[in-house]
Amino acid sequence: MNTDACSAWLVGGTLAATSGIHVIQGPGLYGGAPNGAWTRIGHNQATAFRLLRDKRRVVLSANHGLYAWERGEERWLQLHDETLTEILAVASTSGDPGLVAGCPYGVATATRDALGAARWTFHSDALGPDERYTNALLVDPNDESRWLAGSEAGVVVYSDSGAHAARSNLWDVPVRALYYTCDRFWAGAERGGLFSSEDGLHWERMGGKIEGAVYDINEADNRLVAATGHGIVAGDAEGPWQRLGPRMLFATLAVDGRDPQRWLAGASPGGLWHTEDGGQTWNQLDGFKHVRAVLPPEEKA
Amino acid sequence: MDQQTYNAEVDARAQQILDAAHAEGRDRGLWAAHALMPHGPSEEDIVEIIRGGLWRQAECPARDLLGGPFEILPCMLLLCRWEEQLPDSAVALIRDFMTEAHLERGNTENHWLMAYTGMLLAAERWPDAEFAWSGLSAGAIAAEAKRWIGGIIERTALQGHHEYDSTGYHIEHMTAYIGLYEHVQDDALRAQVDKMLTLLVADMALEYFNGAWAGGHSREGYRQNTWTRLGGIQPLQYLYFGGIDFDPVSHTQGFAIPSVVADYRPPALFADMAWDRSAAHVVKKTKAPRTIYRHARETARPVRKYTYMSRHFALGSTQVGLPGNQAGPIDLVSWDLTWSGPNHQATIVCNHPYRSPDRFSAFLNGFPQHIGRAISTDKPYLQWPDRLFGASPYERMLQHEGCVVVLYDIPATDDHPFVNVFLPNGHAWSERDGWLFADLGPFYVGLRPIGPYEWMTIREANNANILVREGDLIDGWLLRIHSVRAGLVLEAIEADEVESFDSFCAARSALQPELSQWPFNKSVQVQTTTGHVLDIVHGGAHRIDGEIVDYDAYPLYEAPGVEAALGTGKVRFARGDDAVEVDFDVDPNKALLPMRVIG
Repeated sequence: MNTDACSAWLVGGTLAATSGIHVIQGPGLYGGAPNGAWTRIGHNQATAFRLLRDKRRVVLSANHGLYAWERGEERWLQLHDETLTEILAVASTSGDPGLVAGCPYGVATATRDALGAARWTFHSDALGPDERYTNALLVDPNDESRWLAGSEAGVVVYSDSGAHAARSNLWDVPVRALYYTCDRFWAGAERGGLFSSEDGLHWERMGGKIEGAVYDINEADNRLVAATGHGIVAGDAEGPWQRLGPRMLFATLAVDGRDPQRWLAGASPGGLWHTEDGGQTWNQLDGFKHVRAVLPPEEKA
Repeated sequence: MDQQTYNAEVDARAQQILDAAHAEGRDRGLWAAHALMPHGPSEEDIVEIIRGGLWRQAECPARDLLGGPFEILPCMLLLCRWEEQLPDSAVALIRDFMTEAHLERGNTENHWLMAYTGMLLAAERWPDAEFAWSGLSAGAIAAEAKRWIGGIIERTALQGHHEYDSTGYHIEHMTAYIGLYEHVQDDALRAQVDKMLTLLVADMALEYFNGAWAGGHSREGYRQNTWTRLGGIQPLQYLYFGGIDFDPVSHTQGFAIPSVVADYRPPALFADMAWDRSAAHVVKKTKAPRTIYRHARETARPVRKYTYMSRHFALGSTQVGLPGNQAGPIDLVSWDLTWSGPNHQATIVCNHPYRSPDRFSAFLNGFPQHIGRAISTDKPYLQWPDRLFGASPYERMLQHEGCVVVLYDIPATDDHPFVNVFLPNGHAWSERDGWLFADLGPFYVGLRPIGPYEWMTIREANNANILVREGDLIDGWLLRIHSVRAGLVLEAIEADEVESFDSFCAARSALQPELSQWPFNKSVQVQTTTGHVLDIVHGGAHRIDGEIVDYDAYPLYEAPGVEAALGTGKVRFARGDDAVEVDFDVDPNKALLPMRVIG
């Protein structure tokens, strides 16, 4: 695998004010460091929604496709088929290709066909449109066959590798972020702020009010941090949330595992922002206009 | 007309189009270069066209390019058609682009069709190539493309076309399928493509009205739906149906040129159907449900179209089947009255200009918080209060022959608590008892706004950065009905079916709509001058002469000489002794291809 994809920060974003198929050169995945240059990883120019790094690869879930940059390979490999597109969420499982994908059309898993292509099977066809529309995915760390989906209708819990789907009580509100820490599930909602649950089915609101939607959740120095529609917030999930940095729609927030004071936050629109002091001061990094996915360097590096 | 005679006529019109495209210098783009190739262009010219279409102004290796459907399809069609004449340098450029650039599918049905068609042709042509944008083998790429193209054909055969009857985008469907028909190496797929083309040409013919496409459209936006003849489909309408004067501008639009140069010829009977004005008739169509993937608890229902093709006018309406409060694709046109005349002078239409960010995020994946601004930055007219296209979630309609009732039940909190009615300004209107009438020569029209209206003008120009002097996009009267419970009743009738214009006005105005139950019980009854009663409950039952209209009983197509039961994949078009039968041979037990695009 390309060394940069392991040791570098990865940013899925666009350097142009617009993105998509009507421009000659589009966005893509960039590797670099906050104070250095950013270099496109390979020649993929997809508009990234989520990034995932596991033992085998970096996975780029994007507007028009799903791609992997596998260790030892020198190019991106297409993972979508004719049924999977607009991939908003992705999570690792076992097997090959070993992924659960979430998109506006539902939640799907794949197998390889005889030609080596990933062929996707959707597990959400019996649900309604809002229930299918999946913004975020989380594989239960205690049960790989159980997945939490943050949908436009609320949190849907898939069990038995997608054979069954159940509503949680976090319902009638779009859920855009899921996270797991301290033996609990965490969810960020369109309204109402942050919620937590032991089992994924029963949720309670945590901490004070958060203005706007929550798009991403992370942790740093024993604090929860969240990317929201009006900036970054941090707190202990009991008291009020402290708003940090500039006000904009932050879609993602990544924390450097080697230095929990160093964060990179992606805004859409607004670009890429960097803090070295746990959110007290922020600097916008040149170039990026829209960023929806950021991964910190691998901790082992 | 026999097929041989028809083919000769089409050949002549094709040559006329290609000659005009060349003479007017419209053959210098990737799509239209087919018109240049017979004239022996230099290698330098060809390379310039290809680089201009694929690289544009960029100076970079192909691997740094981003390609979408509008590059993928035309470059492969140019290569496939003219491979023997193209210099090696041109072939190499196309191959580099198709194997090295990052290729994307887009998000509409025409996008995916064009992308998968080009990818399939490339994978068949270069089976041993490495496709850097995919990493998969040519065999895997071709298999994926065939699954999608074959699947979308089967869906269309069973449920109706998804991106249906679009004046702007039907041409992209036709050109892609014709490209496959001409060049794909898979015989089984080619046979299905041939049948699909029959349906798409039938769609064009059944609602063809003197060069216009009558009735509802999945996509007829961009402020041109007051035009009489519009969209990229015009070259193929002229090519296949003829009968109108050749227009060297509208009939040489680039997207159509690969189809114009092709050898494909549709069955001749469709040209006869298109021009058959001998008797008024009703055309019914079922089309696939709209793609609405959020802000909805239920999936959309099938689209049902009803178009009355009279001798001198066509009136079409749509049951759009949308779930919930968000409208379908933003450029959907649900109804209009069409006749022959210059742009803006031969259409009546009305619309509630619904605006909400949710109307975009219902079928686009941008964040609802920003998508309203993001989309309207690129296409500001999608939010304008004067908008005449884009289905409103609050609109319901009922039509019988030449009469339509359109009702709106708009929340009082809506940003635009009114309805826009477009009327041509080149005709003298008269008013009688709340009805507006126009004598349009061979036919008459009367319309009755429901609610207080204000008589205004609408004038929009394509290049309106300083001052709009002439409304080249829209120019006419705008009746703004200032009511959230607005409505419109319209009846059109052939002049020779009534004693006189005055008698029609008298008869029509004497039959006032029954509004005592509107809006409280949401019911309106209208009696036509031809003796029928339309009874519509907004959000409830529709009745004609007391009988409930069963939209679920609509076939795939219903028109004189057409047999097409829904869900069978079997269609028969007949006219006189001629008949065209297509059987898509769809396995009823096979799961349909999931729909993953909008349209």
